[in-house]
Amino acid sequence: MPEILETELPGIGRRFTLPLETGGELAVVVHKSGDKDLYFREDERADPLAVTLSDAEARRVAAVLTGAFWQPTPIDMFRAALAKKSGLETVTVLPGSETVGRDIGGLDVRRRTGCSIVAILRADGSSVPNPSPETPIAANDILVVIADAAGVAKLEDLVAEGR
Amino acid sequence: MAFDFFSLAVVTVVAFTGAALAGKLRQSVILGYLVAGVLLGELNRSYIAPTMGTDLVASPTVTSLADLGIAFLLFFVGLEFSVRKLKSAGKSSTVLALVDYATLIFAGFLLGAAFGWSPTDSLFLAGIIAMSSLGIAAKTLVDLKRLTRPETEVLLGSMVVENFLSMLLLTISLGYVVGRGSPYEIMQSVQGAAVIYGGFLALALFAMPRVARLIERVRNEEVFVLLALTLIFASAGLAISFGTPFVLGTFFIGMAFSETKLTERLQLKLSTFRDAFVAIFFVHFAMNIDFAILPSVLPLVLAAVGTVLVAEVLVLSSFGVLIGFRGGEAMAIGTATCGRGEDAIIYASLGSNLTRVEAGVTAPALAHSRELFPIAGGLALVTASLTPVLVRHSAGIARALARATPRSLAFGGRIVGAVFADSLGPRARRHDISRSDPLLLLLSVAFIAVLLPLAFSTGGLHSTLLPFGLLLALLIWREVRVDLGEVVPRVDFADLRFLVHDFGAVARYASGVVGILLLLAVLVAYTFAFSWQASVLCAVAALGAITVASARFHRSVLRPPSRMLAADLLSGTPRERGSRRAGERRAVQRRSLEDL
Repeated sequence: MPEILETELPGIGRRFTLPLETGGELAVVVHKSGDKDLYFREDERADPLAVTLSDAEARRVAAVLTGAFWQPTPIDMFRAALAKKSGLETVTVLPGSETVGRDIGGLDVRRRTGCSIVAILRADGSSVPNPSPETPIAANDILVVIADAAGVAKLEDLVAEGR
Repeated sequence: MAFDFFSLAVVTVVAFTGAALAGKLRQSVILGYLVAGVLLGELNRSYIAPTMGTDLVASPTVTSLADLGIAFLLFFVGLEFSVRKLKSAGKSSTVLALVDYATLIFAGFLLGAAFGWSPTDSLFLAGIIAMSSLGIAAKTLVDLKRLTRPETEVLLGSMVVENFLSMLLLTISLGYVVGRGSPYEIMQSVQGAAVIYGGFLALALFAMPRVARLIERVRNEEVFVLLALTLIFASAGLAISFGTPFVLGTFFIGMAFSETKLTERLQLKLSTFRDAFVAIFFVHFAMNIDFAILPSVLPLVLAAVGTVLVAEVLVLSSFGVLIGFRGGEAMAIGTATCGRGEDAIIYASLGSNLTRVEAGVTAPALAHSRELFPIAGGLALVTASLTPVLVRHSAGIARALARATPRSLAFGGRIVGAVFADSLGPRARRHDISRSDPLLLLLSVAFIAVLLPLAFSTGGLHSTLLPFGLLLALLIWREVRVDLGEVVPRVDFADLRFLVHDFGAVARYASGVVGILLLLAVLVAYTFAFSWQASVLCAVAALGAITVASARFHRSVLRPPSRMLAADLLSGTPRERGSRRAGERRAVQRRSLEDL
């Protein structure tokens, strides 16, 4: 992810520019008055679109952008954050999987996939930190594992439907 | 005399109306004050003063509150005058600002000379013409949503540098003008100015950090405001007692605070005072614009507007192209700097209020002091309303200008631009001036240090400095030529669709242009003292020399010298194939050059 560039604009305020992955550019100009301009440019040659927000409006929009009001898939965000920070991965147990109802030891997860399950997040919101081999696996569980990419792929196969 | 509430009420009502209307019409507030003030001034002269017996312009209450306004304004200018800010201004901003300022000061003196003004009066005329307004440029860019354009940062940075130059000019010229008169007075005011400058410099450097820490501890807001006001008024009084204008005192005390943590708190607490009294100052200033003398100054006002437009739109933007900005970007820089506003008005007002005691009689120090009002006011009115229009159409102006420029000149300009883009232009890295070539930096500083006294001296010193100026120009030219020899092979000319086969020719051409411009600067600085016509002649000759050099360069790259073809032929391939390929390559190159 590219860094945000900060530029001082004498007599006006500061500009923060974020180059977008699509090749465009998003910029926020913070005026000394607190007003914020939002600039968007599709590519280098296009003329930018711009809108001026008052301080209060800008805060409202900022809250929406951070997901303070509504976030459709919180788990995706959680996954991304986990994988980036710690090397932890998450795998969701699908309802039709052969693993539903069986326990971790019985499935021999570590030997078959190379994954080490460090926590289980249940569908009802409860969690099982550091589960023992006897802990049963239920449908829609989220398994938090330490594993390499190959291990995760194997585990995803194991908890997939129809096996 | 009792406090003149009637006049004050009229002035504030008019100021309020002007500001409100300007806000509604999305114009800068100063424009509103000026228009409202000019109309009120006319009404005052034709109706209020004769029938009611109250002259608004001469009212001591209004006059002293206007003085308070300019005192606060200069204090705030001083607060923004921090060396840290100047340092962050980048190389291209600095170079653009220096060239722009030098051009405009020269043009201003030229104008003064053409209209028969004395050098001292011309100094103020030149300052009014040179002082571009950061406020107008910033407002224009914000309104037109141009803040993410590539040139914005450099443009605003260069205007900050120009503001610094303006304040330097203002403080020095005020000291200079006050310093004339009888020998005794000269000694007295030169000493006074020296004491003021030195004293405040010492204060800013040594005492301020400690004093600021003490003031920071003041929690009580009333005490803080009173303390700030005390410092401002005391500095103003001190400046007067040393025989210098009071604004120098408030400016310097503001500057002394500029590097401390108190800046924001002072701005917050005192900005109300400033806004109120500055409004009175601007309206009072505009009231001084007398329609009766307008016919006599109109040619000069129009000439000033024309000079500003030519210098910014043509000269500054051309220079922008020479250091590597694209046509549209360079024109955006040129058009946005067209606005003249508060700085020019302050300067005009200070200049016209300067007095000198001669043979016991207090008289205006400038012969044309009355004319500075309509000139600065008219210039500000026209340029402030013209700037947004020009900036909006800057791309079109750039295209039209590019079409009108001879092809060889346009081509040469873009080649020079490509050569300097990495060192001086838009892609220049910051803070590496001294690292890239310390010798060149040293020579350039020395060049400016010689050029300034050369331009403003007469007699023996004048002719002694000339050889030094020429020598430094020569040395810089040689140094640039050597540097470019290394730079040119690394430059990417792909944008120009131009195949370089002779790096030496490009380096010679680019350094030649630099050399001609340096020589021009020296010759103008030297000849101006004798005759302004000679200076103009020098400028025309330099332009001609660049045109000729560009045409020759253009021709030489269009038709590669014959030995280049011979080298192509001898590259080891069978003769006919080789020659055909060389011919093709030439054809391709031809076409791509013609595309330009």
